[in-house]
Amino acid sequence: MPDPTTNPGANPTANAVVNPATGRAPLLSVEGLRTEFPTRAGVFKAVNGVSFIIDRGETLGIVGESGSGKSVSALSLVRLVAPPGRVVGGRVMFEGQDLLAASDKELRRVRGGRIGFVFQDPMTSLNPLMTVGDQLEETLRLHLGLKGAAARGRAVELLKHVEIPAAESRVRAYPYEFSGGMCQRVMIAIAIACNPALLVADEPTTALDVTIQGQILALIKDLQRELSMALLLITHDLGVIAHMTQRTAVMYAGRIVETGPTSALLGRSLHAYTRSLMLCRPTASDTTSRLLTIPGQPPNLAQELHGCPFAPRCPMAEAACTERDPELLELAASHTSACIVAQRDGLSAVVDRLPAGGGSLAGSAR
Amino acid sequence: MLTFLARRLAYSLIVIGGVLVVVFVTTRLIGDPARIILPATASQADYELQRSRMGLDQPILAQFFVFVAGAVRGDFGESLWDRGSSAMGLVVERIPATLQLVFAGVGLAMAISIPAGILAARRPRSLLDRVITLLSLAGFSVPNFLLAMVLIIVFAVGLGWFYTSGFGTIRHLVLPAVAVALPVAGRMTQFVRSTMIDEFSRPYIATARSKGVSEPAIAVRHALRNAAIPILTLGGWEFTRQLAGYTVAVEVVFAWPGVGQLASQAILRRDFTVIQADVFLVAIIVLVINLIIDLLYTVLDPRVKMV
Repeated sequence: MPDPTTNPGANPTANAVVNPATGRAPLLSVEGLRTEFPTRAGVFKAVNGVSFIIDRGETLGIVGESGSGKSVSALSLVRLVAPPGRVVGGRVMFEGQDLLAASDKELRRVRGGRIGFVFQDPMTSLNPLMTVGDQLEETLRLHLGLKGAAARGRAVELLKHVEIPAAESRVRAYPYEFSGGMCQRVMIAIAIACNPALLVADEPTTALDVTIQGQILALIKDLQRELSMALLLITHDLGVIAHMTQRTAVMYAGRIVETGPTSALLGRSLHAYTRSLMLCRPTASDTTSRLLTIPGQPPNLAQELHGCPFAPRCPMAEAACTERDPELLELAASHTSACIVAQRDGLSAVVDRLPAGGGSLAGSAR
Repeated sequence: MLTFLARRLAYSLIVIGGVLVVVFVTTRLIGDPARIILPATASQADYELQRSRMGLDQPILAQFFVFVAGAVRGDFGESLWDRGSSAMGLVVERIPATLQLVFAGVGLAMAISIPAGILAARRPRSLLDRVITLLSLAGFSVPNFLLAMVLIIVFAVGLGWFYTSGFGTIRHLVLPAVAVALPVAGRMTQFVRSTMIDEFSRPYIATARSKGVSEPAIAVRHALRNAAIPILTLGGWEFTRQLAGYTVAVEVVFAWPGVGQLASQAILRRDFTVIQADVFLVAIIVLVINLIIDLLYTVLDPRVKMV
């Protein structure tokens, strides 16, 4: 993979991003990340200027609809985007290393070594023809140089660690002999095999039964605490976000539209999109009214966008929203929003002008 | 496993039975060996005598039962043309040369097509992919007898590196094997390419990349292993196809002493017994190869169980 990054003006000596909250360099800082997919219909800008930081041991959640660019953002961190997609801009600093400028060899050391990945569909994410032990040992051999009995012993330990019963014998089993939840446990074992500083979990429970989801999330949370890993959790499930994360970034149309402490972001959202997402959540208590949906569809990312990308679907959009490109501004403590109306009128605007539930977002649109 | 083998044996017997019926009927349809072996001036009495010597004066059902009774014992009678030689003996004598040619040809084809297909699949629509695809299309568009003649002109007559014909040493084998291999390699490269493109797009490949596995290891250890079953299946099919007759033209051009030559000669002479022995033996070999490939599936994929 050729080095896809050009970052004019970036001065390697002046690159120390400092987290204002801690006064230290964060574990991971992402600035202006842009990833594109050339298609026949034009260049699809899947990630369009995304910036965020994650501190050591911290959990950041990224929420958004399908196609909002959350998975591509995570894959772009270590240039795992499948060709023809490519990272075209931005900077990713991880443990003092610029990952977008790193060589393929250096990146391979980071992948699976310092950053572990867990993906959405555990049944297809494991190689069907290799035993789970061999797949674990592959990582152990690559990053820790473990071979033979030492690797096997560590593999069994890891399987025990992710609470797989009879690990000594299951280490020789194939993925098809495991359930989805068990496969995801194996994926997690592979991801944490080398004590990574960061675990990226891309919709880790989306493909699983509800009962299993809770177990897997609890396991991730336990392991995170135990190994003091940072966690980047990507999901479309606001419940998972609320349960698992300290900070959350909301993505829409390849951009981050709101970031903040999770409780503030979910409780006092400062963006019309986040607020709309919250309203669309089904509740167990309300069985009579129809489910809310956000009318319309996300914009075509192959076209040049002007103004707020959510404006065409936004029930509180004004002329200003389509006239200028919104910027992420800090509107409350550590709470940023790119909502032009909220930036002018504050929290009350978002709360007052969206239906409190029960009605239809479509009815109030435009 | 035992029930699998028993069932396969039963299926094989049915197939062999079918083959025997078809080959018996077809040989009786292609002409009259008595007429061909006799000079045009032979009398009607000579002709009748010749037919009775060949056993062709018997009712057709009687001929069939004699044929089947012999076949189950592996005895196909004497060659109608080369009296005194057992038909099966002639075929068995020739089969090693053909097996050698087909093994070398298909082996070479796999040695070319697997790396070429992987390289092409690594970056679909890249320049390298286009070049490989073009060459493979050229490979399977060229008829092997034409290829054989071009190879002789260039590498045997022109450069003198190899022999124009004959059998025995590696220098005899190279050109015929290449003539068999290139069209097969052309087809297989396209197949390996598309199979590997499929595998490269699967989630487990993304997982391997996220573990820090290098690209060559991903291609071979992960993707190729998963593509091995379809590739092996096509390789086996090419092998049996070549064995069952596609090498005839190459054998004739290089004067390769294989069953292809023997069979084409036997057909021209309406040498029924040799044709029957040849088809029978090739059918058996094809069945055995297919069985071996099926057993290899269980080795390659833990999910495949033979029942």
